[in-house]
Amino acid sequence: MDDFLTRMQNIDRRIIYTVVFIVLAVPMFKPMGLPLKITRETKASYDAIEALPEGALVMFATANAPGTQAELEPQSIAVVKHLMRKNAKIVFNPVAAESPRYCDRYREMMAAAGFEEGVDFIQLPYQAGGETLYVAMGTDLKSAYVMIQPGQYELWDSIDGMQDFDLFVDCGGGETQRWAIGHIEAKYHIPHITLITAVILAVVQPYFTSRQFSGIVSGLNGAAEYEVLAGFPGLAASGMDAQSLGHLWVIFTIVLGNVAYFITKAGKAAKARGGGD
Amino acid sequence: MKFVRSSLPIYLGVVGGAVVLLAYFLTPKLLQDLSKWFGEWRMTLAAFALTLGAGNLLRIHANRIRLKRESFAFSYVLIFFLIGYIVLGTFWGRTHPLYSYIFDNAYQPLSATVFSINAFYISTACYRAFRARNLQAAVLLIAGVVVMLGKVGIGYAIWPGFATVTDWIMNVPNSAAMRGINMAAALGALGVSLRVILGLERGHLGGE
Repeated sequence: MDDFLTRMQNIDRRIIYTVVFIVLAVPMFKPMGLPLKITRETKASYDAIEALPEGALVMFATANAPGTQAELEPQSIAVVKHLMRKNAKIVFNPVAAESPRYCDRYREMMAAAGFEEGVDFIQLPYQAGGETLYVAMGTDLKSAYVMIQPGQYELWDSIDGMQDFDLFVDCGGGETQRWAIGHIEAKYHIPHITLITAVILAVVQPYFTSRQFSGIVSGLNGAAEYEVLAGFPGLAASGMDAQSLGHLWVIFTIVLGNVAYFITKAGKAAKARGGGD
Repeated sequence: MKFVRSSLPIYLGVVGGAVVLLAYFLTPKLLQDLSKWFGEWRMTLAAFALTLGAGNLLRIHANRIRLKRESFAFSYVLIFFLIGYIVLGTFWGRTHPLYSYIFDNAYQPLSATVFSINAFYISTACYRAFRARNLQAAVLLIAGVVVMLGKVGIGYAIWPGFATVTDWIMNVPNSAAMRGINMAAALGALGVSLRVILGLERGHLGGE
C-alpha cells in the first residue's frame, strides 16, 4: 500500500504529458458542447463596442505575437468583426515587432468586406520603444508617427490626437495594459477595453474593478464568450472543451497527489505513535 | 574619457529626468517642447537598442563558430536567417511573399509550439508542487482549483456557483492584493527614479 501511495505522488511525467495531449486533442476532433458562462468582463467589453456610435473612431493597438496568438488571435478577430459591424473607423497599431503581420490580416479582412483602406482603416508602422511609444502617443500622437505624410491617409489627416478616439482597444499578453492605463487612459479617459492572455487576468483585474478598463476579454474562454455574444462562432468556441478537460486533468492530478500525500503522512504519524508506545 | 563614461551619463540622466518630470506638472512651452524632444530621442534610442541586440547576437554566434563550440552548426542557421530576414524585410518589405511565407510557416508555428509546451510543464509542476502542507498552501490550492473550474464550461456544468465564487476571488482578494503589489512597485520605481534624477543612482552605469 505504502509503495502504491508513494508511486501516486511520483507519477512519471511522460504519463502526465500523454494524458494532457489526449485530453487536449480529443475534444478538438469530437466537441462535447459544454456550457459557456458569459463573464461580466467580456459582456462589458461587448457592451462598450455596442454603445459606440456608427462610424466611431477606434485605435486597435496590438502586441499579438506567435506565443500569444492561440488566445489573442480569436479575441482580435471577434472584436474586429464586431467593430466592422458597427462601421467603426479603425487605426491598427502594431506595438510589438511581430504584430504587423497580424494587423495585415485584419486589414485584409476589412478590405474583403468592402471597407476602404485610408478612409475606413489604416495600419500604423511598427515603432520600437515599448512604454516609450505609449508615452509618445499620449503626449502627441502625430509626432510619434512623423513618417506618415500629410495627405497619405484621409483617416489619419482627420485625427489630431488620442482625444479624438471613441475607443482604445489594447491587445497584448503582458505589459502594454499598464502602459495604456498610465499614459493614455489616465490622461484622456477614453473608453478602453483590453484583450489579454488568461495568465495576466489577475494583474489586470483591479483596473476593471476601478472602471479604468471598460471591459476585459481574457484568454480563450473570453474569446469564446465574445464569439457567442457577437454571433461569430469561430476558433475559440471549438477550443473550449479541450481547455475544460485540460483543467479537469490538472485538478485531478493535484487532488491525487494530495490524497496520497495525506494518507502517507497519516500512516507515518501512526507508525511513529506506535513506535513510541 | 572618465567624464564620458561616468559623469556625462549622470548629467544626462539628471537633465532628462528632471525635464520630463517637471513637464508633467508645469506648462511653460519651452519645458513641454524639451520634454517632447527627449521623448522623440527615447524612441530613436529604443530603435537602436534593437540593432544593438541583433549585433550582439551576431557577435556571440560568430564567436561560437570561430571557437567551434558544441553544436556550432546551429549558429550558421541562426546567422543565415538573421541576416537573410533583415535583408528581405529591408529591401523587399513585409508584404513580399517569401517574407510572409517564412513568418507564417516557420517562425509562427515554431514560436507557438515553444509557448504551448507550457501546458505540459504546468500540468506536471502543479501535480508535484501543489501540496497542502500548511494552511496558507491549502488556501492557495483551494482558490486555484475553484478559479480553474470557474473559468471553464465543465466547472459551470458541475456547479454554476463556481463561476460566482471565481468572480468574487478575482474581484475582491485578488484585486486588493494586486493593488498593494502595484502600489509598492510604483513607490519603488518612484524612489529609484528620484535617485537617478538626483544623480545618486549609478547602478545603470555598471555598478560604479
